[in-house]
Amino acid sequence: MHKIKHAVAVLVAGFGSLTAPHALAASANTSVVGGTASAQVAAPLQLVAVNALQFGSMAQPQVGGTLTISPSGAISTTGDMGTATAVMQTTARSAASFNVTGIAGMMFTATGVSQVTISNGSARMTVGQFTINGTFSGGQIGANGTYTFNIGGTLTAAAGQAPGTYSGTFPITVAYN
Amino acid sequence: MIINKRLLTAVVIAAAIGNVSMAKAASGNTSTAAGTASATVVAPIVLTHTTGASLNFGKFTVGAGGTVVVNSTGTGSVTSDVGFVPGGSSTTADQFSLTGDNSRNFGISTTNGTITNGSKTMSFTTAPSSTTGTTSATGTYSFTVGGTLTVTGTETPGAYTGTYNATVVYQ
Repeated sequence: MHKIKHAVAVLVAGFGSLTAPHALAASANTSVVGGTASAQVAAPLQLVAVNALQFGSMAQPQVGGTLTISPSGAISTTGDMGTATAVMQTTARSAASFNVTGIAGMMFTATGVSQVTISNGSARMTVGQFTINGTFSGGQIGANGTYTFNIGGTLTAAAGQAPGTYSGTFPITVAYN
Repeated sequence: MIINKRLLTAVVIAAAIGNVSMAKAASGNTSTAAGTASATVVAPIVLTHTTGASLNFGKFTVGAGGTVVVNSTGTGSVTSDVGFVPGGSSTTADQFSLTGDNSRNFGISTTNGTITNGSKTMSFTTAPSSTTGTTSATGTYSFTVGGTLTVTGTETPGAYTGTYNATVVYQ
């Protein structure tokens, strides 16, 4: 019994002495060098609507017509919308503006729908012919990673259009080109 | 066998992660935002002449001529040789009311006119109580119109009548 116990003790000691040289041998047989891993995460393209397309106030048109606001804010009318809109404007008429953020220098396209309706209860008017600087194209994101563009459009009002405040939304989508 | 199954599971998870990251990349390439379009149609401005009201220059003798002035509150006065008939003259200013958009500014203008009795005429000018106005919070407003009648002294006795126009326009 005594002898066996001793033998076990020796074996343990033997293993103990064996592990130390092995560890030393291992560090000498391998070499570790820092490698380089790289990836580029592109800034996602992001579009935010900033200002609304404001057609302002107009007296009820008798024959109806159109009111166009260009991307630069110029106003033109057809029908009797010229006289109808010659009223005091409580909020300034303006083109819509959108802000794009993304990769600096990247070209992007912008697309929209042909027309939407804006409503006041059951009464409706259409807004269409959306434009960015005359054409519906896109732009190039600036060096600072942002770009702002305006959207103009044309409002069509009917004869005797019901009084009220009309509002609606129109989607604009931008995509890297 | 058990080890193989574990490997397969790991591969499936990796593939799933791959798909998710690809989907994220694709969505980052486009972005859609909804712009808002708005417009306000205001109630039409409608002018109404108050029934029974009129710009009344009263009853007077012409003498060698002059003017009859009725201010916007209806008070009359005469100049030169024109004289009101004592107790028989009641001058009045004309009255109008309008409805329209709430709290909106508008302009008021009135024309000149003539009043006639047979072949005889007298001309008059008009003046509204205000040339601009603002509708009330409920979209109403009223105003009066006075005027100045020119008398030449050649008019024959009789009742003279005529019309003029009042116009209101949103500003």
